[in-house]
Amino acid sequence: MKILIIDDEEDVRRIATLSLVHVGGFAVIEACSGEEGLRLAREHRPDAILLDVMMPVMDGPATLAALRDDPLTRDIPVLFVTARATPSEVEDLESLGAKGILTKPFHALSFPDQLKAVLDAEPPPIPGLD
Amino acid sequence: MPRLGTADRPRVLVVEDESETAFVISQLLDREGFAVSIAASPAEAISLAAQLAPQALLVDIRLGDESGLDLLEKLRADGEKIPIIVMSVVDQVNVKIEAVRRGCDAYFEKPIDWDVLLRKLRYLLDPPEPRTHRILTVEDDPEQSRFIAGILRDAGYEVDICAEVASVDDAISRLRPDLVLLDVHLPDGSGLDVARYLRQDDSFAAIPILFLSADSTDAAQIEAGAAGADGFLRKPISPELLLASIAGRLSRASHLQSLLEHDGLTGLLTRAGFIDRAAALIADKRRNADLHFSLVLLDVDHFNPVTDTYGHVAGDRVLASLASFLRRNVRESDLVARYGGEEFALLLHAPESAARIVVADILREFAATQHQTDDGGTFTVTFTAGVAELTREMGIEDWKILADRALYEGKRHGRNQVIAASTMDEAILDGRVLDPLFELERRAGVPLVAEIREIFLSALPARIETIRRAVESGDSRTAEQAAHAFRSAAGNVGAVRLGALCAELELLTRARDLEHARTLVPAVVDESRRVAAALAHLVR
Repeated sequence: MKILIIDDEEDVRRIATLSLVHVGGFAVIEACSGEEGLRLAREHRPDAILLDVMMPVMDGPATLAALRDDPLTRDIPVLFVTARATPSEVEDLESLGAKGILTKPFHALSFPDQLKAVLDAEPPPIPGLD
Repeated sequence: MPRLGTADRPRVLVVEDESETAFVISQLLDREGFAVSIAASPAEAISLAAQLAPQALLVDIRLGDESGLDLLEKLRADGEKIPIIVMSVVDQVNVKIEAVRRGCDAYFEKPIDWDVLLRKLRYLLDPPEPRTHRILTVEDDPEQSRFIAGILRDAGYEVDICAEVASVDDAISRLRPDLVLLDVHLPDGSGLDVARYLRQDDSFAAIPILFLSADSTDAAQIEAGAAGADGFLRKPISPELLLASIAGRLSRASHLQSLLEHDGLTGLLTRAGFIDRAAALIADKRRNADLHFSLVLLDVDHFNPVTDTYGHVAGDRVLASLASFLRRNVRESDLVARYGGEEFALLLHAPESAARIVVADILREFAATQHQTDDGGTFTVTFTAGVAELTREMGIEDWKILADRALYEGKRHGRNQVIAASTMDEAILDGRVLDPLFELERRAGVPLVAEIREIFLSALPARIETIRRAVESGDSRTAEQAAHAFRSAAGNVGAVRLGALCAELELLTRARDLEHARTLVPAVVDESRRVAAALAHLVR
C-alpha cells in the first residue's frame, strides 16, 4: 500500500514516513507543497493521501479541490492532517470531501494503525486499487 | 479575548481656594487612582457637584469662616448623599462637632496624614456590602419570641430562636449571627452565663450582645455589663426602640469588622478577610460548575532592595500604587487583597486563561509606571504572579497551593511574568511523545530524534523572529501562520507547554487581538529557550 504525504514541515514528514514504513509496512512518497503533491499524485497514483491543512501558497483545501478536479486522482482517499481540530473545524474539513482527519503531533508508533482505522472505516474499498 | 472591564476612576471634587494646595492634592489623588476636579469657591463647588456627579467631596474649611460649614449644609440639603471629608486647620472640638452635625463623614486636621485620609476615603467610597444581618434570639417564652421575631423579620433581619442554654451552641454554628439578643432568665440556666461563654471565645469578641429582660434591676444591668453585654433593654419594649438599638450596634460592629478586614496602608482586604470570601466561592463552584473563579497570587519583584535603596516611604508608596492599580483594573465584583508584606491576592470571576491575560495587562502597565524617590528621582518596579482556576474538586488549601506554585515558578524563571498553573503540570518535554520517537528510531535504525531536534533547533530563531516581527508590525495573518507552524513543531518534540502557548498565540492572532498576543510573546520566547536547552541535553 502506497501513501503520499503532502506537508511543508520537514519534521512532520520525517516522523510520518519512518513510522509508516518501519511500523506500518507502507510505501511512502513525500511532497513538501500542494503543487508537488498534485504532480506526485498523478505520477504515482497512491492508495491514500495525507494532506496538511495549513501550507503556504496552495493550502490543504485548495490541493484537495485540485485533486478532485483531476480524473486521475479524483478517487484517491484523502486524509487531512492538522494540529487544530475543534469539532466544527473537523466538520468543515470533512465537508470538503476528505475521508477523515488525523491530528498532529502523531504518535510515532500507533500512527499507522490510526491511519488504517480511518481508511478501513468505510467499505467497500475504492475500485481500481490493488 | 475579552478584556475584563476597567473600572472608571472614582471622581473626587476638591473644594480648595488656594490654588497651590489644590494642585498638590490633585496630584496626590491622581497618583492614587482618583479622577480629580477642583472648585475654588463654595458656589463653584455646588455647581460642579451637580454637573460632574463626583463620588466624593474633599472640602477645606477655614478658621472663622462659616462658608465651609454652610457649604456642607447646602450640599446635604440638596440631597447630596456622597461622602464628604473635611480638612481644616481648626482644631476646636465645637467646630468639628458642628461639621459632623452638618453632614461631614470625616474630619481631618491639618497637617493631614494622607495615608489615613485615603484609607477613610476608600472605605467611604466602598463600604461593606449591605447584606441581610442575622440575629439570634435566646428567649424561652414562646409568645415573647414570636413577638420579637416578628418585629425583626418585618425589618428585614434573618432570625433564629433558641429557647434554652443547651441549644445555644448549635444555633450559633447554624446561624452564624451578627448580633445576639439574650433573655436573663432561661429554663436551664442564665443568659449572663451565655454572654460570658460567648465572650471567652475570640471569634465572638466583636459580636454585639444585647440583653432583653423584664428583670431590669440595677444589679442585673451591672452584671450584664460585666459579662460583656453591649446594652440592656427592658421588657416590654417598643418595636422602634428595639430596632434602633439593634441597627446602631450592627452598624458599629460592621465598621469594626471592616477595619479588621482591611489593610491600613492600601485599604485592601486583609488575608483573613480575603480567604473567608474565597472559601465562600468554593460552595458556589460545587453547586454550579459553569462558574469560573481564578485565584491570583502576586508578589512585587526585588522589594527589599527597593526599600533598602529608596527607603520605606517610597516602598509604601509602591505598594499603595500597586493596590490602586489592581483595584482599578479588575471588576467591581472581583476581590483584591493585601496578602502579606509585598504580596497581593486577586480573585477574578474568570477562567484561568482570561485571568492570566488581565494580570499580564496590569503587569505591563505597572512595570511602565515611574515611581518617585524622595529626592525627585524615579524608578520602576515589576511583579510576578501565579494564576490558578478553581475546580469542583478543590478545597481552599489546594487552590492556594496551586497559585503559589505558579507564582514560585515565575519567580524561578526570571520574575516579571504571569504563570498559569494549568501549564505547569506538564514537563518541558513530554515523554509520551518522545518515548515512541526513541522506539521508532530503534526500529528504523535511523537517528530520528537527533534529526528532529536539529530541524527544531535550526528553525527556532527564524520562527521566533517571524512571530515577534509580525506581532509588532500588526501583521496578524503572518503571526497566526507562524504560531500555527510553531505549535506543530513544538508538538513533534513533545514540548507541551510551548505548544499550548503557541496555540493561545494562534487564537489571539486569528482574532486579530495583537495587543494581547504581544503580552504572550515573551512567554513563548522564554519557553522556547527552555525547550531548546532540554532538547540539547536530550541524550539516550
